[in-house]
Amino acid sequence: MSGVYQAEIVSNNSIDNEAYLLTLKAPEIARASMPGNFVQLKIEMADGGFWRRPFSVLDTDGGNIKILYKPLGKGTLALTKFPPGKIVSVIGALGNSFSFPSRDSMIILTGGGIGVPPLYNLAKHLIKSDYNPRNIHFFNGAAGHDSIVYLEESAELGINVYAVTEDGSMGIKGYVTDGVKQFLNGMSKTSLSNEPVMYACGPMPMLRAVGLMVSEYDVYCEMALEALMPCGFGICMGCVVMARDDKSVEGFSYKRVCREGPVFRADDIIWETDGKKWLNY
Amino acid sequence: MAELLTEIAGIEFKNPVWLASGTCGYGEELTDFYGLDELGAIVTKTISLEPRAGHPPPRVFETSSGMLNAIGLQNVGVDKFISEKVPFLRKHRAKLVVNVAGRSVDEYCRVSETLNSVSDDVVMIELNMSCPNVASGMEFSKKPSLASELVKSVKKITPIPVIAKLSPNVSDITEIAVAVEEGGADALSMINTLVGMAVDVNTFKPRLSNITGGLSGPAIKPVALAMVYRASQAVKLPIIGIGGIRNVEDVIEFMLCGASAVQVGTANFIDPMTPMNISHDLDIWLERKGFTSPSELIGKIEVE
Ligand SMILES: Cc1cc2nc3c(=O)[nH]c(=O)nc-3n(C[C@H](O)[C@H](O)[C@H](O)COP(=O)(O)OP(=O)(O)OC[C@H]3O[C@@H](n4cnc5c(N)ncnc54)[C@H](O)[C@@H]3O)c2cc1C
Ligand SMILES: Cc1cc2nc3c(=O)[nH]c(=O)nc-3n(C[C@H](O)[C@H](O)[C@H](O)COP(=O)(O)O)c2cc1C
Ligand code: FES
Repeated sequence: MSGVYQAEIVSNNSIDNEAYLLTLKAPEIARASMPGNFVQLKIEMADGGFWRRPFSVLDTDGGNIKILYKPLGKGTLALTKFPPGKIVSVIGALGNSFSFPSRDSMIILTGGGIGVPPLYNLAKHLIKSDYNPRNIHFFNGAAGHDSIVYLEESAELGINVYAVTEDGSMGIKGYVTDGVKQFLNGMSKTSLSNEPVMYACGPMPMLRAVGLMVSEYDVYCEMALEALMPCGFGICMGCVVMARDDKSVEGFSYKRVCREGPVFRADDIIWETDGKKWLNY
Repeated sequence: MAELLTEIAGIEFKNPVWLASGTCGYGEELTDFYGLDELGAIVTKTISLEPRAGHPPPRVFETSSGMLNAIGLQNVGVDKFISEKVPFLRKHRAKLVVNVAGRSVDEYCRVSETLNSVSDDVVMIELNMSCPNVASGMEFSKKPSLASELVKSVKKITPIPVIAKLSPNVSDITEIAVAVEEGGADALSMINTLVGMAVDVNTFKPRLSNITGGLSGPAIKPVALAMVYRASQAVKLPIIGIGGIRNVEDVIEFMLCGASAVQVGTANFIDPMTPMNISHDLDIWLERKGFTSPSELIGKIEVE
């Protein structure tokens, strides 16, 4: 169950690579939140922007929740100026969460850009639940080394971390899916004992590529989607994605990313019909 | 304490603050935040005869102090609404107003007639008249004769009182208001969204899959006020004011311009507690100004 809370900003600092780490005192949300959940922050901003802005829960720490964000536009830029002590209105915890895989799975986390936070949260929860960190492989994709986020912090969890950059300035060169494909190709030769299971989050074009990849490799995959979200708690029907639905006559229905999601099974998402691409933004 | 009890067309509402159609689903999600019986009324998402899938994404876009939407009337259809949604609303003792649409006068009538089976639960029907009539391609709310015919036909088929919800996308709102009054409407609600659009200058594509959409939010409040004011001069029907309402001052403005009650729409998205806060603040505002009921404000704007 979610609620509207007045949360105090504990800290709000620029960390590596233009990303900011925001810590909010929000005990109810901290207690309720699971990996994949998000919150809706109210940010006073210029240009008449007035929707709340959605952010994944990166981590919880006692009664605090942590958010990792990149300043992109008017809301996130305004947020960077919010000082500690300021009270912000926050709705949460919202949305569904990732399911946990079977214990002996080879867990592959595929994150692009600012899609890293829910995957980091998942990795942390899995380790807390005694999953073997060596079975967790986190592919962190970005344009270049200067835009990759939360790489070291992820490595500190003791999991396998791989940087993938489009310009090759760090780690594997290419799209994050290229890195994952190399890994899957190598794995099928060596360790067939561990069934791969994938979790993904990032911009929609990346998720689309992940969707095509997992269907080619026949890997079970859950992905947290992005969408423009006027409300975030299911009352506007604005944030939908086209998803398979055997119960509807059309064979699909529009599902709310904020309510039935943000986490969906990759094979439930319809990326295109009759050559027309569906992107929810 | 002031008395917020409000009467519209012989029906009593706990207070004059309702939820607008399409901005509260069927009430389910809002029970996380408050009890539905605290509201004046809840107006459901538009219900049609058959379920509708709605438009593909993108369906929404944020504009200056407003937003565009083209949801495409995604809804479960009247049968499923009655079997799956009404029991929930009944259990939560929601004052239920059902918003209805159709592609023809006959379709509006068939949805309304189907609702007769739950007439104990449905206190009013609100006709979403911003829908295109398949026969003429014109919205019901655009042509006085069509608007009047629609209301008359629905009134014949149901004992449930009828609200005509008007579109602002017309050249003369009073013409339509008069027509639906003649058609026998029990009340008016206004305004629905204004037609608008936005374009992505990087991709040269419209921001909405439907190209155009409906503008709502604080940006449209002045338009709504002017239309409520003008309609209130032209008809005797009670008017339910809608458009950009966020706080108690907005509500007072609408009442002074002639509204008997209001509906909160887009503001629910930003703060679901908005209707609760408004009712609370309205009580305090009236008390402080020495009024005993919001009805004392209706149409009391002072024009020289
Ligand atoms: C469930 C969910 C979880 C998210 N988690 C995070 C997170 O943990 N960290 C983070 O930095 N960002 C996250 N985002 C994206 C974040 O919400 C957007 O970056 C933010 O809303 C942009 O607001 P703005 O006012 O700065 O940008 P605007 O000025 O509104 O727009 C600037 C640019 O950002 C893009 N944008 C706007 N809204 C969104 C959105 N909802 N999703 C994706 N792109 C958007 C626009 O297309 C535009 O190009 C998440 C989004 C969703 C839906
Ligand atoms: C996302 C969204 C969906 C809407 N859906 C409907 C609808 O199904 N039927 C209807 O009559 N009005 C619908 N409306 C219009 C509102 O009920 C209201 O008339 C309008 O938004 C103006 O009020 P506001 O500025 O307070 O939002 C919708 C509005 C929005 C923003
Ligand atoms: S953002 Fe409103 S329904 Fe999802």
